[in-house]
Amino acid sequence: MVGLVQRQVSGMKWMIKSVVTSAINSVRCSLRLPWFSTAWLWRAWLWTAWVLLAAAVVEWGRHDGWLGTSTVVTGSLPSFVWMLAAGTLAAIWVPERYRPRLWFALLAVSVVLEWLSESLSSAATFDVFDVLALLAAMPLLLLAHAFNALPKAHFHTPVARLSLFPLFALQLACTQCVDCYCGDEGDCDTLVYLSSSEIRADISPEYGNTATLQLTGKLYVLDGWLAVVDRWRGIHIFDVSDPQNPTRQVYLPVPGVTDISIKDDVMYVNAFTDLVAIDLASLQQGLYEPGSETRYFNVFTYVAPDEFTDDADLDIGEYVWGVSTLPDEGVVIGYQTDKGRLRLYGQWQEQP
Amino acid sequence: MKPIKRATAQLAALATVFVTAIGLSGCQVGGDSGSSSGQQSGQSGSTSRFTIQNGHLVVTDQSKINSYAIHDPQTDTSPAGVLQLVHSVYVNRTLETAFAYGDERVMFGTTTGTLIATVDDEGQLALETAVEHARSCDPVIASGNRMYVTLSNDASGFCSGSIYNNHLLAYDISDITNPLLIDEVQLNQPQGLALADEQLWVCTESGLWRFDVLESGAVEERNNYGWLPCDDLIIDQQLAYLTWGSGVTLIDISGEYPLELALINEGD
Repeated sequence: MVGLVQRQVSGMKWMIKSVVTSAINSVRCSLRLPWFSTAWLWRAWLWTAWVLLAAAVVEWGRHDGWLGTSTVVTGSLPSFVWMLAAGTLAAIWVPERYRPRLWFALLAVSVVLEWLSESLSSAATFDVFDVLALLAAMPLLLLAHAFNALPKAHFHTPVARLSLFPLFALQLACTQCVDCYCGDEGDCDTLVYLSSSEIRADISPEYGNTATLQLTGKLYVLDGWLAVVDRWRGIHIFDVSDPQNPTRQVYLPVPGVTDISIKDDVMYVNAFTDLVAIDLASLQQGLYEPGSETRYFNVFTYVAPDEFTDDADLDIGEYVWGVSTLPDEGVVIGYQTDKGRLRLYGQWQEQP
Repeated sequence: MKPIKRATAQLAALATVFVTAIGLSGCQVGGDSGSSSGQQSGQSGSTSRFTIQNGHLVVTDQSKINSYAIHDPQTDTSPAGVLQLVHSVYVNRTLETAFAYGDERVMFGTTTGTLIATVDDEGQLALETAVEHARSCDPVIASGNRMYVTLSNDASGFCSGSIYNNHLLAYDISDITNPLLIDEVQLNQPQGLALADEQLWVCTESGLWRFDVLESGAVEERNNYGWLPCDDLIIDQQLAYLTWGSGVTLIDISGEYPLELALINEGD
């Protein structure tokens, strides 16, 4: 039984090994990189896998919440781990004699970036913890080296030394990545949704000059009336029969409106995925019954504009790729920061 | 192989690795801002996602054009605003805008050019032609056998790619299948435009421009009102309504110099 398991394991190892080495060697051939020995590759990949696994576990822990968030230590931990990973990986993938230089280079880069970020404890992309991570990577590697566990690289050409660059790139990519997983402080912004019941609520006009225009959109002029779309929020209708004194007659809250068209006293507007037909005559006479509009569901495919969320510091699971139809939870209209600031429809909202 | 070539090859490989690493890191926050058409409007809804033509509401939805029959108060008794889907056409393009002109034509701005279709009395859609050189976010107006397009290289980059960045173009469209470029004017980030009384008004980064439209359809510069910034405008008789960054301006355009009548500010 034991023998069977061992044979299975070694068979699997052989399979993985041959797949990985053949993949790497095919890349090597096509790129004319120097030869990697199979044994060296095997060890290097094993180490890489362990380091990446450790980093992934910490990342996962932070995202799943068991590490907690919003403290300087846990917030900085991911970049700490990534720096540790980058430092270790760098050392694995370069020849022994370049390893010390690499450590110092990484250290110098981190210190310089840290210094550039103006505050040593700012918990920004590069912080004190990153420097500590690199310092910690060094004894770890020395230990590994002492046990002869590190692979011996076979780079001899000057060109091969250039392979340092992807490692720096990896390091940068990783820290960037940590940054866009909510920032090092762990202060994830949260998305703001408008539910479908809010979107599809009866339209109830506000007569008089009560509303305020927030984001000017399209206009429509008809018989001394001027309709101004307040992008994504509603429609203001002004009486412009005296063009020197336009007066707001009515405001119609229509979430999701951007376009407007009028025919035979019926105003057609879009509302996210829906098309809404509103009787203009009764509106102008002040006799509009809330809910008397006709709403056609899912006439349009709604895609959340990038500007609604492109500055948001969101958790990885929260990226908005656009919504094709109106789901139960509604549509994304912006986000709220951990400080409570609201950015809706691409605009920062006034603090109450 | 010479070392220098090897170095080049390897640098290319490293660049690939770098790009891949960045790509794999899942940093999708930025992306291009892809903001589409400017604030376009007009009495006929110039670059709206839907428009009304020949008694039908013509709606663009991604790659689909739908026409809906609109309740006709003269002939039927169903409530106002009742629509009925009549015809649906798939096009192999991404539709952005619909603009009605003439009695039955609709121009569709797509990400790869302009489509022109007809809507008959029954609401049946028929594609007539495709004009590949105009881009989607470009405000277009058409009247009679003339078509005017503004092209700007706005910051989003979404609309870039034309050789005619920052131009006003005039076309003769008497043969709809073969629009002829008859005039071009270089302007600073032109946006919305409006045509009234043989005059063409164009909103640009350096204020409102006024052109005289000649017999041929070509335009002749008449004045530039740099003190009137605007993104878009509509004209109703002697009044022009300009939209700009944060509000609406009403101006009287009966004289040579526009007269500012009123301002509706954001926050009002």
